[in-house]
Amino acid sequence: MLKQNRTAGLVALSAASMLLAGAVLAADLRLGTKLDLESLDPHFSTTISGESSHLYIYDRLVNTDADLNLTPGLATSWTLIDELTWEFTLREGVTFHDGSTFDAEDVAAVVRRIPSIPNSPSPFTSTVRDIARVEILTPTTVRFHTSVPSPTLPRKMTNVYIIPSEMEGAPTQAFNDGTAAIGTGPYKLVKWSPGQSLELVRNDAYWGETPSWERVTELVLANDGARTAAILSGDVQVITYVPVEDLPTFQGSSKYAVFSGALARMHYVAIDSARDESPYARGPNGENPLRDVRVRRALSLAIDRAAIVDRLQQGVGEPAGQVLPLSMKGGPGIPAPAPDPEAAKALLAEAGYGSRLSLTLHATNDRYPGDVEIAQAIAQMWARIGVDVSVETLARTIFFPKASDFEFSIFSAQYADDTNNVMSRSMLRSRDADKGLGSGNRGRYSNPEVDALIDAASIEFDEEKAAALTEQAIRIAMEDQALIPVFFPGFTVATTAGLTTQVRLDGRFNAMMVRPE
Amino acid sequence: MTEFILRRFLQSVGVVALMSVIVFAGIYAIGNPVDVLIDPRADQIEREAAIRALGLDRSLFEQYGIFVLRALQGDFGTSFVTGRPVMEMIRDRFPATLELALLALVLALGLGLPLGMLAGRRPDGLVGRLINAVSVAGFSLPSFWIGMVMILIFAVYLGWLPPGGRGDVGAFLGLRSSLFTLDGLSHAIMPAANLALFATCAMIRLARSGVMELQDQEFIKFAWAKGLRERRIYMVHILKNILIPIVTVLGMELGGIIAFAVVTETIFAWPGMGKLIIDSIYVLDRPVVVGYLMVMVVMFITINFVIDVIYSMLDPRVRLQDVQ
Repeated sequence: MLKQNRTAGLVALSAASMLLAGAVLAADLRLGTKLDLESLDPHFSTTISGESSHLYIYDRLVNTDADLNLTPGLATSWTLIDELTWEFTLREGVTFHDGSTFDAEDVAAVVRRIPSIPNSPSPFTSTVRDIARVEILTPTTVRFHTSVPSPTLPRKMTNVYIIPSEMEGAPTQAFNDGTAAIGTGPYKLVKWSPGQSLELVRNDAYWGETPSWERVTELVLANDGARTAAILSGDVQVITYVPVEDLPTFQGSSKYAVFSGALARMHYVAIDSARDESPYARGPNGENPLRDVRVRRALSLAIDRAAIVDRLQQGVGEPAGQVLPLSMKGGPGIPAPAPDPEAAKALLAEAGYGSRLSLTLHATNDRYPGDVEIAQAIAQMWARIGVDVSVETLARTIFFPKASDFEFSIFSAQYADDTNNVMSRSMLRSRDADKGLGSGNRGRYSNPEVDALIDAASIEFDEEKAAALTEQAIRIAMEDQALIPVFFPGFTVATTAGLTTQVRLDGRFNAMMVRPE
Repeated sequence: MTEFILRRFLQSVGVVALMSVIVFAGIYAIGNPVDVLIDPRADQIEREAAIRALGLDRSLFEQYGIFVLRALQGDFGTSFVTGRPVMEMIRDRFPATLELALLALVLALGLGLPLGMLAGRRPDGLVGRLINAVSVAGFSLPSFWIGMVMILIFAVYLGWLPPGGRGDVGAFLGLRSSLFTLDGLSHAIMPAANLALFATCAMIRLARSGVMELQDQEFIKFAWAKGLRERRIYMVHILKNILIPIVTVLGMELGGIIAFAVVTETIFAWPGMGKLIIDSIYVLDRPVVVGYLMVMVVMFITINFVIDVIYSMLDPRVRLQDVQ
């Protein structure tokens, strides 16, 4: 289950401290975010900031709750008609911000628009790629005819934002300057200053739960110090991505509250287990030692995951023994292994390597909080079991292209996804570029047994059976040490006293999640 | 004069072209922006589509050729990250940076010049030594640290000024700027002061040494002997003569302030061009980087040109010509 930590100081809250804290009682909310919103066009490109901020203005057919289970959105229900057909029943009585009614035409328009967006650096096309044809039965019933069996179509709909059909031809420009930024969401756009602020006003005709705030302003405060200063000076009431150094300040003060939880995200070590010779992993005869499962397991056992989370992540996050947190369905339920350097050394000796193994661990130095320190810590833990290891950290602009081109042997990075099913398809399955499989599998791990299970799961419509197949696939891959999960990073939010919020597994955060206490 | 202008113009075109080639090739050499920008969950099919969409599947020459052809028609491309036209993004942010830079310049001149002249008049006096010490400190302390201390003191502890961001924009004589509103000024004063720090100290030291040097000159002694009032001696005769190096340095500082206000803009969350360029470099958003640098080169050249003209106005001995 989500771990939610509330400071004890919050309990001692009184009306007096609410007044001291500032404008908590106002019907307006100001948030400080770390990431820039790149565009107001919800179909332009997939961005982390968009996942949070587009939800103000636009809705989806299917929503997810805090644990990433599917819940009704603009669609009240969905059923499978046959292997290649899904039927969605749409909600009635929903209007867009410009007064027009929401109906099946809008859904069809969106499915047409997404693949037609030009110049996208990160398109949404995979969400609707399986849909061959949209059939409108009634204004509130729509059928998606897919080209291949698509059990995950409802989940893909959680990333498909609905706009009026009249805006189908509107270019991204029109969304960015506000003229086309019309949705059915809880807030209406007032003004967007790129890189600066997003101003919104409550949509009083919203179909769902009435939003708590009259006006919402999201300020972009990318610099950690600026974000902290903003909440300390009362300029904003909520900040996300609380800088690690400032957590004690907020946790120890009754004027602020800190909320944290783990994410559906894994910090892991990718291992080249495919090549006979690897550029940065060398045994005594120049061969690739990472091909031996005992070596991989030894490297995993050497890592003290709890220490990394405690000391390098300020306790925010959870040690990991599998690809996604234990609370999520479809995982084999493997807890994080306790560190055992003696067993690791024994495994290395058994594999015939002893101390004759040399590795270079690569990592980014400007992408994930603490990425450099984590890589250094892992390398030191490996040095303790006799591995000759060096660390090289690179800027992300250099790191990612090289990682994609398979230029590293062993590297430390993060990966996130909503379900175990999709994680395994991307991270553990053998690469198949034509089918879009194994795109995150940068160690080129390849196990036909795992592949078969994953492929079977991806066309299995029975959720329980699909979960069982995925679970089995991940279990085998973890026993085979396809990669080394290290920990699940956490997400932190700080608010002024008098507000309450929660953290979701997918890290989406916006004003709808903040309420007065 | 015409020859001078023409030659300068041709030089600038050459510099801009050369710079665009270097930046293009440089960013291309670092890596593929798609790998940095694309959702890590995207599969190979989407990655290929994104590469094609951004024109990155073509050869470097082809990409540069397309860029030049479009640039000649006034189209400087669209950002990889946002899809918006590059020049529009720059135009959005330019006023913010310009505001800050001009305010900083006004502060630097308004504070630095009088303080420097004061220090130079009696360098061994208490005031003189104090000003000198402060100027050295201002030079040496890193501006990002001073910026954070300012935020801590004025925004967090005293609550007098907002901790960051840009204020409301007002209009005056057809121009829109946040400096025309009280809210805007309260937001701008700290970052401008932070930005002006280095320039102010430079002004102080230049003015001080200039005044000290000139005070002992024959013609100043003659002016004293003639019975001119101290005010006239300093404000007219000495001031005019120290202005030449000051104007030169000011020009250099202005260019630097506009181009490299990144640190200040980052700390104060000021939505200017500095932050835009640094973010674009981090994600290899090549069109924005190239467009921005072109604008910067043109700006530097213009400033240099204006400085040279002012130079010739201040000192009648100077003829406008380039060194042979």
